[in-house]
Amino acid sequence: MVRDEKLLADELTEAISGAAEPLSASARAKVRERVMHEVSATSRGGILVLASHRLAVAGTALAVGFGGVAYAAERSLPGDPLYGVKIAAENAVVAVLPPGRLENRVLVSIAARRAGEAATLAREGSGTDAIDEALGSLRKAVRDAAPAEGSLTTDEANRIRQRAADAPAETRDAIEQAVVSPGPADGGASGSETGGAPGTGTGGSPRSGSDDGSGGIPDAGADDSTGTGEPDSTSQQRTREGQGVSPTDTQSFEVGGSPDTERTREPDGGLRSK
Amino acid sequence: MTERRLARTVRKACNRDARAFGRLYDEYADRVYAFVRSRTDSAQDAEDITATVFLKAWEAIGSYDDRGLPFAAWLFRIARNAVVDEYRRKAHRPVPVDEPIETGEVAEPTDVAVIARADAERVRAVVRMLTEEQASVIAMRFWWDMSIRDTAEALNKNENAIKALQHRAVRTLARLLQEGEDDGA
Repeated sequence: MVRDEKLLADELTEAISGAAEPLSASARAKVRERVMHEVSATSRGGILVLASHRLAVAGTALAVGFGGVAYAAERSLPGDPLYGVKIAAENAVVAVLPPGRLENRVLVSIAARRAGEAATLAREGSGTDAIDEALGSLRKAVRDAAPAEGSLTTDEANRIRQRAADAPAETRDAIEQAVVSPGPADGGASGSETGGAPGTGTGGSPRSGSDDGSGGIPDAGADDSTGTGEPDSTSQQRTREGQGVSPTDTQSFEVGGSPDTERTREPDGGLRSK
Repeated sequence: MTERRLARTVRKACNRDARAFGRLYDEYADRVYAFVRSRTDSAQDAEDITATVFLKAWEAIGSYDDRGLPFAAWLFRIARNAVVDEYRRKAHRPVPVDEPIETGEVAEPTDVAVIARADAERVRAVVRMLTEEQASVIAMRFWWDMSIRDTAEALNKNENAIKALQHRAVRTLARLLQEGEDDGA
């Protein structure tokens, strides 16, 4: 009798648990779009983007001439007045992307931007604090781009590394460390978000803000938008004054790479793609 | 999503981080829909209410305090209120707050084979016949995998009351499945 009761309870549990009506994939995506459309408009990023629109209208002539604020924001570096606009635009784009391959590629592109920013700051001789902060942002971006319980694929890591190829050796090492081991969000392995890797600055002088563009390292705005994932030889030669770089948010995200890349881990914890 | 990651995501969403909120949608959309669908007549209504639940959650999340209600319990309350609001708005039937269905012990022993034969659609139909509280407990315990404690917090009851409610709900469900089988025989 007791056995029957147990059997009945088990059958009931199984029957009830399996009766949850599933939300179809199309309905799930449709409802998500409805919700996120509203959410992104009223999010922190969305509000800043709205503000940036107004700023763009009002300040184009004053601030950056005919290029427009959006263009200037795309080219901005941490510490620049328009850097917040650039970050807000990125957040707004990511917010409306459904989970999946496209979102993942955009997140990797954002991480590559952070690497490029850290490299440019170091190349320009910015202070250690500014570079360390940029490295903290890079670590966060790498964590966002990596899957919940894993790491970046080799291809993804290489895309980020490419953006820092011309960084001074010390900063390049710190960027490599951030890419391979971004550490937990709460701080830890790679140092804190704002004070992490020591000694990454190259000269200690504050960034002057008067970039002469002679270094030739591609900045965040020089993302490849061709969909190939390979560095564009033209964009490699662009300077921060840049020529012909797409200033818009979505278009400038690099979404190339190898679409068929699968994430696999080597036994030693390293990454490989196949 | 691990508990730690969920806590971090909720904290970000509380700071109006849209992407983090999108993650919460991805995590909870199925559960919200399953509950809402069990209280609505059509899939379209359930989708609309699911969207409403998340929009209301986004409106309110700035004041959510993770030291108070667990997030799932907080979200379930919003879902439950949205369903009740929808009932009232449509006024097509009364909100079943009492116990319209006999909830005593099963008069006749339920045949285990009857339960085993019941398909998901039949079980869902029977869940729709339960009282609002019983259906809420079924949803939270079986579909949301919430603990007795979190379920109690969501319904503002003590844990013993939840255990009793769950017991009655399951027994009623078994009886209704048995009756449906007998009627069909």
